[in-house]
Amino acid sequence: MINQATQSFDYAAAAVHALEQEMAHDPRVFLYGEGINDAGAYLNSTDGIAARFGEARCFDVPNCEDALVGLGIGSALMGYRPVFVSLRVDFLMLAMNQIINHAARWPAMTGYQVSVPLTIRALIGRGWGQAAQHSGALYSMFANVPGLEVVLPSSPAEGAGLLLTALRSDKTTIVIEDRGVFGAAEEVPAIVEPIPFGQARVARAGTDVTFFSVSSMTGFALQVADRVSESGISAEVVDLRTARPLDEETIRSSAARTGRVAVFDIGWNRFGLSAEVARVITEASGLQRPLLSVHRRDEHTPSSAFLEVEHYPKIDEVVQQVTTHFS
Amino acid sequence: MNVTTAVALECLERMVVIRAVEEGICAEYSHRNIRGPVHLSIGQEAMAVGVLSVCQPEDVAVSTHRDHAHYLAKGGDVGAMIDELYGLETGCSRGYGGSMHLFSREANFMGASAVLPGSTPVSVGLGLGCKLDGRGAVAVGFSGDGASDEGSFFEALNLAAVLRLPVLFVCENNGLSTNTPLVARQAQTDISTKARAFGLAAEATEAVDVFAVRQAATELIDRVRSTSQPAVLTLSADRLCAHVGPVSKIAALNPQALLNESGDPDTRDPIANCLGAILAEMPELRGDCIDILQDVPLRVSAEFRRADAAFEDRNVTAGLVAPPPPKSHTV
Repeated sequence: MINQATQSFDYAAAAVHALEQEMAHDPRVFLYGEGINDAGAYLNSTDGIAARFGEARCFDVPNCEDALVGLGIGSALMGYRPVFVSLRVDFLMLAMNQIINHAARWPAMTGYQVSVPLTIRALIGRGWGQAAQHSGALYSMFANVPGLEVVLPSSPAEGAGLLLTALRSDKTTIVIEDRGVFGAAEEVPAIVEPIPFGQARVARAGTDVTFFSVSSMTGFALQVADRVSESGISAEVVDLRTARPLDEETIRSSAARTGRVAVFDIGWNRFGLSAEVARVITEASGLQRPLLSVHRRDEHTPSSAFLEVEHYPKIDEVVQQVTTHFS
Repeated sequence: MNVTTAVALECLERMVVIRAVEEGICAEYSHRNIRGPVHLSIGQEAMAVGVLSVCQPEDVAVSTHRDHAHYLAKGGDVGAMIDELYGLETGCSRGYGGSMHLFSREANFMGASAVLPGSTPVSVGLGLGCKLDGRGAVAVGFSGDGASDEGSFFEALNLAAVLRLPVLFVCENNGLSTNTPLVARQAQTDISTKARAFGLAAEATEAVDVFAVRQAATELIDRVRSTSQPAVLTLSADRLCAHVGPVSKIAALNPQALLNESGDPDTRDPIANCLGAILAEMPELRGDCIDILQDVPLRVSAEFRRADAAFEDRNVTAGLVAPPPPKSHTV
């Protein structure tokens, strides 16, 4: 295999690199955000794009997050590939109606006759006294919602490849960019290749315990793995990369191999990544019988009575399922 | 009226199609094969037909939970809509949308949101798409006065104005949000005043007379198209039906009764009003009008019978249990 040329980039430069590559390739891609062309805005992750592609493809907008996501949805329905850059994940809480009720559901409500290829980049202001409203992770709220993709890059090269996949995805994709990954530089391919969603990356091989991680907690988990190796513990670090879709197969296989699991999350513990990893594992093993979940289908509610009846649990089937499952 | 005879008849026919479909829903609902909420447009047909009859086919539109009239006036297929109401996979949204989420790619009817004011921000994005396409199309975003209670309704107006996007926001003011009157919800009830405060052109008109709506819409759409600046058109008429459910407040379509009512200058029924205007200015069209009033309900009724039979066929294998008898609906 021929070594591809690389350049050393920090996360911001890697993001610009991937965006510029795709914008040069696909005229449907454009960016917008509040103060997007301010010097140093977005931790430099939009620097130079307006200068290269013009302000028609990288434009400043008013403070109106709900309308801004609507702007992306409508233009995506018209065949464009908009990228909304949000200075903080926290600010997206103002746009939940458009993100969940509209971006995620519009394809389903039309019987999947349309798609909403919108990318939302959202930064997390980790550290430097950002306090409650500038440092939220909040991504598990989005990961709960069918129709969305949630991406959590852990490094510059990962960010470039995952961002490229987001730009090419036909779904609405939320790319969570933690300030904790902005500091370090690494080699990034001169020509970025897309990194498929739903495929975890083994960041460090190990045999005794698996650390499942996302975003900046991957670097953290790698440091922990190095430190505990001094005590003779061989930790495998698996960077999950995307929360939705989630690489359940890798979670199950690594957990089955090591039999010991830790989860390294950037967000809160309740109803978050730990619960999700535990669900994936216990659905496969770990109790006398695997965990059984009874729930509505993992999709948006269809209107048709024929389809709706399939959406909710049916008592007879559940009784049968429980009888078989736990006997 | 200031329209050709062909346009006059087309407006009447489109409104009669909408009314006939909704009366079909009222008639069939108690049979329980239409299984979902329905928000009718009876009394408001002139809004949809007046605006969309002056749009071009390539113009795009989005709507609300009360979307039947907009879908049909934009050119959505009648049979595919009725199939959708029956939950059939041949429906315009393949059974996933139901009454509140009709869709037609062919007609450039891009869908509908049932959460206020959800389709209004989406219409801004459609306007951006039209502008980027550079082919002179405009986006039409229908909302009700209820949506204008919401903050992001005004975010959307401002965003469209500041980005100079070709969007016509049509605010259908029936004076009610569910059943709460506008005066109980807004201190400034003049929506045009608020739109102008955001820097948008705004006009308002009564929407019982479809030809008056056409005239107001023509002026604004021409302006939106030529300047790539958004505008707001507020249309007022009575919702002559329940907020939700198969309840009309007026008599069913009847040619003789409509001919009688068409002479009443105070009628609130847009179909009677339209008929009156045509008979006054184009009396030679009387026979064509009567044909429309007689034939359209028959055609629509045949579509309901076809869809109902398809539902029953499908249910032979699906075996859905019949739902409980309908509750009595109040107006």
